[in-house]
Amino acid sequence: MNKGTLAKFWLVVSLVMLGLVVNQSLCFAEDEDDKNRPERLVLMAVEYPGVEIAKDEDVSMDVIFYNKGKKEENVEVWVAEKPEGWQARVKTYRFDVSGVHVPSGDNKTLTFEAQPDESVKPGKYEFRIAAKTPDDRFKMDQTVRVTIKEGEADKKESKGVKLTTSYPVLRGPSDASFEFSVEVDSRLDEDAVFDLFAQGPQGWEINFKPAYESKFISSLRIKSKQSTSVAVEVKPSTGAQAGEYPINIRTASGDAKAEAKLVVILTGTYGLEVGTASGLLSLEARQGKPANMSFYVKNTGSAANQNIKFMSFKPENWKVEFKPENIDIIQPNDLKQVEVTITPHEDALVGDYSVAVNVEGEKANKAIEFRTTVKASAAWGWIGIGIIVVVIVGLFGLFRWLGRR
Amino acid sequence: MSTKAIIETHELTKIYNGQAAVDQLTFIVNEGEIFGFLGPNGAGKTTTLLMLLGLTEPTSGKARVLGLDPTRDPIKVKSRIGYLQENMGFYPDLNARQMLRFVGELNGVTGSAAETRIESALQTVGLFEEIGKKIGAYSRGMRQRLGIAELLIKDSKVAFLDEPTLGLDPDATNRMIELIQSLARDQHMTILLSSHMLQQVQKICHRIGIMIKGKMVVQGPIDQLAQEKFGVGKEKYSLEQIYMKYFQEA
Amino acid sequence: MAQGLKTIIKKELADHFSSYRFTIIFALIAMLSLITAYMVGLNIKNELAGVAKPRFIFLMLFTSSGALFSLVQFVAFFGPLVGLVLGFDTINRERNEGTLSKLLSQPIYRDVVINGKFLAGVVMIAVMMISIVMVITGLGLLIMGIVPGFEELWRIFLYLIISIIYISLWLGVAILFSIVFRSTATSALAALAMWIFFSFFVSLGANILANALSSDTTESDPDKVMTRAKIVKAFSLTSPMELYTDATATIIDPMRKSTRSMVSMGPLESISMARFSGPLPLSQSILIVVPYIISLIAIAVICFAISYTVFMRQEIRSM
Repeated sequence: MNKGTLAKFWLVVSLVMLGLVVNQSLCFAEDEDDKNRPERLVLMAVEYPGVEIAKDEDVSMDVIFYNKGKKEENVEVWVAEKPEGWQARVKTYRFDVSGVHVPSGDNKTLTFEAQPDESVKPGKYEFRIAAKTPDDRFKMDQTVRVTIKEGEADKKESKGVKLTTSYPVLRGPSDASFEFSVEVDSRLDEDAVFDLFAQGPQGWEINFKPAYESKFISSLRIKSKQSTSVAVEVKPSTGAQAGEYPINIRTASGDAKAEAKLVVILTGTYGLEVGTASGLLSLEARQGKPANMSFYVKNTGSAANQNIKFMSFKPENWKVEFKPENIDIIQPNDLKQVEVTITPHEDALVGDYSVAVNVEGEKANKAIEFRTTVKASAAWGWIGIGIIVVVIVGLFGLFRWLGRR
Repeated sequence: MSTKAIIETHELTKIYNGQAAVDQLTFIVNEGEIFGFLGPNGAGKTTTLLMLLGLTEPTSGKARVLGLDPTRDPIKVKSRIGYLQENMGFYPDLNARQMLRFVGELNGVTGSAAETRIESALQTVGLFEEIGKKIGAYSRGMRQRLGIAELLIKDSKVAFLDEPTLGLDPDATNRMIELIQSLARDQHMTILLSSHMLQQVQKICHRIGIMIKGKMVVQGPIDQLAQEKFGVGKEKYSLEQIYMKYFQEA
Repeated sequence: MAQGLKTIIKKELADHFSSYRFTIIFALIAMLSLITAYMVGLNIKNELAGVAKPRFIFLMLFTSSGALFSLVQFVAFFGPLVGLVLGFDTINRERNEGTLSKLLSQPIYRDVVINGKFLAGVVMIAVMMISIVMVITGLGLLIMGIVPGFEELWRIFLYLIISIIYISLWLGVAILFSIVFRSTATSALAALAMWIFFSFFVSLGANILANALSSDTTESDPDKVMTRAKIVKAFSLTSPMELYTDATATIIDPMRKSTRSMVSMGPLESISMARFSGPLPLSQSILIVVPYIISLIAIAVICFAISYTVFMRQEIRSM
């Protein structure tokens, strides 16, 4: 086989291949990527090859594996080098990882974590993450440089305990309960029990709770140099007026003391009660004729309710009017009487209808439903009877006049 | 007896389905006379009466009733002629008063005048006692008399009586004959009487006409006909004999 | 007024009122009104549910089909029967009893006899229809408190007129048969057959005819469907019942804008129709139905013309 025929052969083969490629690419556009891929190619990358951290901070970053080949790959991965005094590992969100499976064309993300010991001083540290395929075809390694900066961490107060809260001021209605989240940060070198105290307005209930638990506590144990989150639950007294109430919380353990000031702003409760004096919610009306009914609006909240309007949900073409049309202000526990005039449509059929009245204050609303029984107006009823009588009399009249007896 | 012709026909002809029911009939009825219109069943007597009333149009020929053409002026003719048809034609659900009131209204006799006329007419024919009875419950004789009462209500000048004595018992027949005579006498009605009852006809008719197969074979006073047929001096021949003679000839 | 017409009408009315027919018609009035009012009372609330602005509730008393039928439907179907019952023996009964020649030997024109009898029948029909409508109105007022509006009264008045014309038309048919046929049984049967033919058979026949004329009925081409619908309609219009149903539907249901059951319209047109589905003004409703009323009257007049001709030419001898 000489050179010429070989060239021809390859030409034919490549043409056929091209044909196949074109053909397939027409069918599956996505496959074009695959064709350009090498048989096997695995890559590894770390998210941040160089990082700077403060003392006592941990390092955590992604390690990404790419499979750009046509085959699925298993990759072994390990931390090849780490400085002394560090704990380093490759993990997923759940467990440590020593090998990862990467499907073709896909990528996988693992997490590299490094935690310095207490002993680790500021300075530069180097980690090396290595990986390889089981058949040693691909060997990869990545270096992560970590610089620990000289921190200001030592400037912390030496009182030994600190109370911090993100949201020192809470606001709400007086019947709500307020929950502050307070961080108790112990700087003591040994574990200690901290007592918790709170001081608030008369009659208020203030309790400490562990975060996410419902038991009340009055002290808590914190390991050295650890912090714990504590919830402070505040229940205003029942008659509490709207206003601003400061609450002092303190914690102490031996000499270590801390104080924090929390503020509760009560906006008052808003409640409305609507009803009729007799408790009767039904009325009778005649077509096109107004029917009156009175109901009261009572402020059951702790704050004054302002600008109360009345809305009605009524059958089409009915008229519902209120007197007064709205209430400007209603003090807590106050009672106002409202006259409602319901006028059924002139063509309304006899029967029961529902007229709902929505009393809408600025902060509270309440609905009440009246059952309205439309009765035919007596006059029309009599006219109806009259027409029937006229017909009967008319027929008998004709019978007597024209018929032969 | 006056000689004014009340009814006059000239070659009056009616053809039903190619057959002449009345064939070139020419006769005269004079005012005030009772004309006996004789003939066997199907001779065309009723058809002639209907043509004279304007209810049927003649195929050819002319008719004059009270000087009017019944074909052209049927309303005028009908308002002046009382027609007593063979089956009377009363509504069986009406009583005598209602029936006569109805006829009166159709003839323009209304109100209290009608009521008095109804009562006197019923008294005349002897039906006043039965005034509130439904006609359906009347005997045939009573119906015939009610028919006479109807003529009185209409106060017609001319009466066509079609077989008024048919199916009556002898007593009823006599009452009927008397009534007819009184009509001519008291109401001065001209009466065209069609009948088979030759004896009665002979009694009351001034003149007769004999109709056979649509043709009037003879007309005139009975004695004159007897003379013609049986010779002078034979005036005493009964009408029946005269009739049979003509019938056999035809 | 022609001489004697009043007398004959009075006499005929007296006959009607003293016969069992009056009892039957009275029973019809009572039953129909009560049943209709009752059924509407049961149903009208359901029908009104979800209707934003119910109008013409009063008219719904007559159109709401309730549990079984509405008054309008009932009259369309069985109104003719009343006309037939009133008229099928008008002339031939008189003929058979021998009273016709008595009547005709009185100084009246012949047509007065037919006219009088026809008008007396019309009066009976009017009395019946007006009574039914009034009783339903009364019951509607009494039980449901439906107060008719002014326009609604006009509409119901027009409905009454059309209904009376419609039933009178059938009365005319019955009178025609009573003239043509000697026997009352024959004329009753003939009239009944006519009623069944026009009320039930024509609509059936219209479909068959349309199937035969428009070749491809399975085709969903709107033009063909329309053509078919037009054929069905045109053929159905030979039936007085169709004429009547169409005419009254438009008068008594103001939401209807056309007497046609199928209307071809573009998408925009249909949107605007749906959006502005207000009631048709009375004057427009009348304009739409005038041709139908005229057709009904025309049929009645034709019936009458035939009746006259036949009756005038009939020989009294054969009576």
